[in-house]
Amino acid sequence: MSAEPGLLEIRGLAVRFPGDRHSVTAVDGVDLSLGRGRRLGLVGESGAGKTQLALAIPGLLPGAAVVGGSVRLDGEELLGASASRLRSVRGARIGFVFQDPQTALTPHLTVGTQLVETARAHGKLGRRAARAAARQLLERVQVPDPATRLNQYPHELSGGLRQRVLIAIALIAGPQLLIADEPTTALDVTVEAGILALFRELNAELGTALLLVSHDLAVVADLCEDIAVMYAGRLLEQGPAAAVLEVPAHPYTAALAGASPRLDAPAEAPLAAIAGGPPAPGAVLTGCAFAPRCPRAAPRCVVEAPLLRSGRPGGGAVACHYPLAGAGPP
Amino acid sequence: MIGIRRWFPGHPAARTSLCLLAAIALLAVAGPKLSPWRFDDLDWARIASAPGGEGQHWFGTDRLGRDLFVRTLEGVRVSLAIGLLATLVSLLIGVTWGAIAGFAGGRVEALMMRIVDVFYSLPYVFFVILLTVTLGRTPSTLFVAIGAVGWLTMARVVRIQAESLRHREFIAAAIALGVPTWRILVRHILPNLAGAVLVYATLTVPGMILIESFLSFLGLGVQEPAASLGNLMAQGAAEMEAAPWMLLVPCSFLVAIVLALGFVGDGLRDLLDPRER
Repeated sequence: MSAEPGLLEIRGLAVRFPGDRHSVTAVDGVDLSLGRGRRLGLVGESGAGKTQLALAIPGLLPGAAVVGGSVRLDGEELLGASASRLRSVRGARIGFVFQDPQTALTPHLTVGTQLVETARAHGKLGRRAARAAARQLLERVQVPDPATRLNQYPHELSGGLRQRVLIAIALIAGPQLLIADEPTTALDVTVEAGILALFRELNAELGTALLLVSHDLAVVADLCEDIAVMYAGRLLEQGPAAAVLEVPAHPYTAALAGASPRLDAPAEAPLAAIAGGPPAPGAVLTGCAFAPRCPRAAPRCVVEAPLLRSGRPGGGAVACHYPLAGAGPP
Repeated sequence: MIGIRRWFPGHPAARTSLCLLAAIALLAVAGPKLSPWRFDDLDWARIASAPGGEGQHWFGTDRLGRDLFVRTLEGVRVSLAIGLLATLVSLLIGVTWGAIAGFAGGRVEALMMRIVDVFYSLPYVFFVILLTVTLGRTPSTLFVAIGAVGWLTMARVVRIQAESLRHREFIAAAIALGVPTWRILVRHILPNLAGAVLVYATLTVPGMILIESFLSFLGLGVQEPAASLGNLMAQGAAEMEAAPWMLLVPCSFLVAIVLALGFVGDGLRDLLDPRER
């Protein structure tokens, strides 16, 4: 990790949902930083807290959530910022792309209206200038025939086009950071490849940093320079994506990589799976969250939670008492 | 002028109903001028005569010999006006109140909806009597009395809709992109409420007409010799066995208006929902 402060600095972020009997901890003390123009992939199973983490950054969690720690964007603290302050950050400095393009566009407003309103919410653009900007951006995200699309309603577009429109809306106010929560999960594979290529191009051209939330290691390996692996609300491993995925240091990352279906495996070979299941959301965790499912777990793992320590081989950090020392998956 | 066929594509019933409503409204305005009788003229020679009898009483006369054709149309006019105006008021207050409560959520919502509950729990007749005592028995009092309760159900309907919309992803997306709150409310939430609101409004109009007739029946609403569908039906009901037309004539107008409004609301809902286009 470089000494220069990144664009996004998250320190000790905790998200808790208090309940009547017991509260649920969705994010449990996460440290994460993202440099200007970098692409970071946040991976984990369903329920690992990835989405809650992503929502916490621009303060989008529901009122019931108790959020602690610190989230700094360009040195400015966002946690506990006023509603109007947050509103001026959302869209203008942090763009957000939601998972399902079918539901994230308002059905009764045209594509153009929705682009223009986001542009005008943050800039001093006139209606006509905003519309011109919207048209240019649609062209930029490779929507064919942008002039016609501006006047169309979301239901007149295909899923892939709608996701492109959502990306355009997220980018129209020129944010420094784009958060995409499973942006390709609802799309089919060929459309997914196109969207991923678009993310890479936009990142290179506009210099917009990308935080990609995904459960798909292949997507992250394809698109991101850095990776952070999340499990039960904690970060287990982070570092350069290539190094982490090729030579995982945490047994969980290794197991996750081993569980990805492989095309070169014999057709009759069973799919590898990680035994057991993630801890229940309300469970009180002592020790390492992954210990009950870990093939390398030792008595120490159950009682003492490992801290995320830098110095993993190949760069990055790992939270494990007994990291895999540069070996392949066990 | 746009051809009427294009108004409600695929909704012949809505088109027909709209024409019927227009015809009834036109008849209510112009009809009384066709008859030689005025709504409060007494024809001593033909008391309670059946429709189609002598003396140009096309719908017959009531027990005081007043022309039922003119009185019914007069009543349609009064009832429609009260129904429409009261619905308009209930739309304005109810939609604003409900949308704000539903979108704001939390304590604001709780407070606003408890106020609605308090209004709901007022003993209605007692409330109206108090109003007529303090404000006098004028049409505007009747109006306030109907308006005071009309918006309550509308506010509840809208609140539920707005609340379910608040949790939809496109609202979350609009919030996540920093769209101003008032704009989310006006552009993203309100149009989505249009379907439910319009359908409910078309049901409110006859509801208001019924409240008016109920108040008129109790002597708190439209007073004799003025006519409304409500007090005409109340009188007709009293003579139902001897002179059924006194009930049937105003009744069929009410039924026609209620049904037509229902079909028009249905057509409007489909028209305003982009997924149905």
